[in-house]
Amino acid sequence: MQILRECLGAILGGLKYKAGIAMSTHSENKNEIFFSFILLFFSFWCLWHSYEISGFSSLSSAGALPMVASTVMVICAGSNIIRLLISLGTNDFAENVADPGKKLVPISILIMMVLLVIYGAALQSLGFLLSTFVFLVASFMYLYKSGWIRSLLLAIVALLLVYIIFRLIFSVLLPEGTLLDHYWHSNLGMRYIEVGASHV
Amino acid sequence: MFEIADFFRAWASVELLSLVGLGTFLGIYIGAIPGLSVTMAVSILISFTFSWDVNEAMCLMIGVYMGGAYGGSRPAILLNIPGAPSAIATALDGYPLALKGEAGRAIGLSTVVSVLGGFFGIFILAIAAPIVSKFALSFHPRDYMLLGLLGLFLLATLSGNSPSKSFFVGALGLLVGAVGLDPLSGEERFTFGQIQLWNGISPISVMIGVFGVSGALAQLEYLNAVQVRQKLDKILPSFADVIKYLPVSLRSSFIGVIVGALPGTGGDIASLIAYDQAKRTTKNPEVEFGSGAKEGLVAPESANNAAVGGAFIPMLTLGIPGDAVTAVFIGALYIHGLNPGPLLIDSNPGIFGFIVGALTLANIFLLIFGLTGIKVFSRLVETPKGVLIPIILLLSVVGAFSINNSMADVWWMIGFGISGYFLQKFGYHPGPLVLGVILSRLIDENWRRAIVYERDDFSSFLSSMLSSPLSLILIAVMAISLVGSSKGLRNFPKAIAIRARQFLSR
Repeated sequence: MQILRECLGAILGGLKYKAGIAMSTHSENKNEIFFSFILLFFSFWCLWHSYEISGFSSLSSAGALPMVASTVMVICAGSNIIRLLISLGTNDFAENVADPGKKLVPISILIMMVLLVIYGAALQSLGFLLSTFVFLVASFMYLYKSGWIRSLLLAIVALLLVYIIFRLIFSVLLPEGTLLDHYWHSNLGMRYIEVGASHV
Repeated sequence: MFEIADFFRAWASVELLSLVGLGTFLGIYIGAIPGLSVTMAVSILISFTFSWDVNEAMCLMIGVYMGGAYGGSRPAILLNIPGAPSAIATALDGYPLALKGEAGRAIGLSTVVSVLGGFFGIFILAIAAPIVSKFALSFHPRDYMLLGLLGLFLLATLSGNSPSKSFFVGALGLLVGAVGLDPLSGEERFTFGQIQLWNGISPISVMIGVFGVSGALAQLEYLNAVQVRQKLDKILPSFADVIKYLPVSLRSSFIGVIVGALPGTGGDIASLIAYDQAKRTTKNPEVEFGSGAKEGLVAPESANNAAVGGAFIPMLTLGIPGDAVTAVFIGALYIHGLNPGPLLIDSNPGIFGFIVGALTLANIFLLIFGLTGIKVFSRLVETPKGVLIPIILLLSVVGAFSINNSMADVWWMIGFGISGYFLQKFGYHPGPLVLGVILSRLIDENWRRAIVYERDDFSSFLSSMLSSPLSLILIAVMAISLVGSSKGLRNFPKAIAIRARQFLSR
């Protein structure tokens, strides 16, 4: 009986040791547990859809690799959560409860993410030039904290450089907005093709 | 081996020569600016050079690759901020050297040993690739699958602290790579009826998102970091110094080539292993490692440049990437109609000699640019992050769009960029994700070919695997890397021993 308890203690000790090592690198336990549960649900969702491809029909089916990959994801996500929950039983929990106001993500990063998404949406409707210009001015004003004149100038320079290098030199197509820029781009483009053709 | 004419093709043409030079120059600066990564730059470049001639495209990208492998060392030495993961070890002894006022010497020494390491890697590439290529013809699909898995295993076990997190991310990458119409059977995988998803998710948009956008967003946390300016005077290292550290450099270059040649592991891992190795084997260093030991500077810098040559070996001979950048190169070769694999060197011997020649040329440019223009460099690296980060985001958007002229790629990039940021925040390393996406098709197709060959019989597959020496070696390496990384497994016997001793002493 004693031997059994010792063995169990050794196993748990090994797990706790492992959990301790892992937790020493970051202390945002509660946020991480939440995130890990999201990943676990996501893994199950992947597993379900992998099964829907071809079920357990054969080892060489299209669904084989997805199912194996999803299973690995479920196992890893699960083991990660177990490890996190074990480490909750150690000292870290008290530290985290005492510091609930600790911000996970700096607000500047969240704002830039939102700006990026708006930029993407704007690209589709307003086209490259206008949406990039607004994005750059907004970003420079927010991140570089420059006044609006300086941001405007910086944005114009950056936009010009990017346009010349990528559109004109590399002949890279840039998003044409469905709303405003179609006429604008095709005019510029026509003039460039004429110029380019005369150089050939 | 290869025709001399092919080797000098890049040297003889002014256009190709200047592209190599331009690429190397760009690579050094891109590698030097923290937040900009060579992988991101090459990913963006592959879409920009789509319409170019393959030789021109390769020249530019080879230059960027070579320059970038070295470039990360400069801010590592000057500011204790590695410009690239391959320079993490460089900062450990490079920055203390700079604090002592020897920044110039450190930069000069690191340049010279990087070039030496580069030549070593190229030399091994030139000799080994044709040999591996012939040997690779005997590879069974099963071996290709194992090799791909080995790459994922190695990267997963060597990056980050938690193997379970890295394996999660690697498996996720495999899944992302499987999205779309199955090339073998035409079945829809994770397409949810959307025709746009039939072609899957472009690995390049994943790469740009995870390395470019996430990296840029993460840099925002250091927006207001004060940068210390360094005084730089003597740069050129003395000949005696170079000779003194030559053995360390050669040993580290050897490590670099081997690690670079292993699928999935590149300069970043090579430099860490070489640094560790140098630390263990240098008896009585003049200065302690971590306080400015020159061996600690020489080892990682030689290794990460030698890894460049090494990474090309599996890429050219097996079509398997040696690291993330060569993975992009494989894409570039496919786009230009060349299929990397054992038959590439046979059917297209010109490309092999050409690549070796271009790499050598890039290495020479590295020496030139590395020892000059340092003041200009200092100004550039001091570009305020508030300006740099929006520009990186802009370039990422342009790069993603130019893959297929489709906004879908931009959205995927943004999606992976944002989720990649959160993954990294919680300790999930992005490397295995990208490698998984790139290797997914290779592993999937070869698995299915292998199992169909055994008529779907798993036991027969196992027995054929166990009777092939090559497969056994690959499995053994995977098992060793797995056991070696799992701390719980390693400490389990120790914990048992401690308890047993306590029990027995009662």
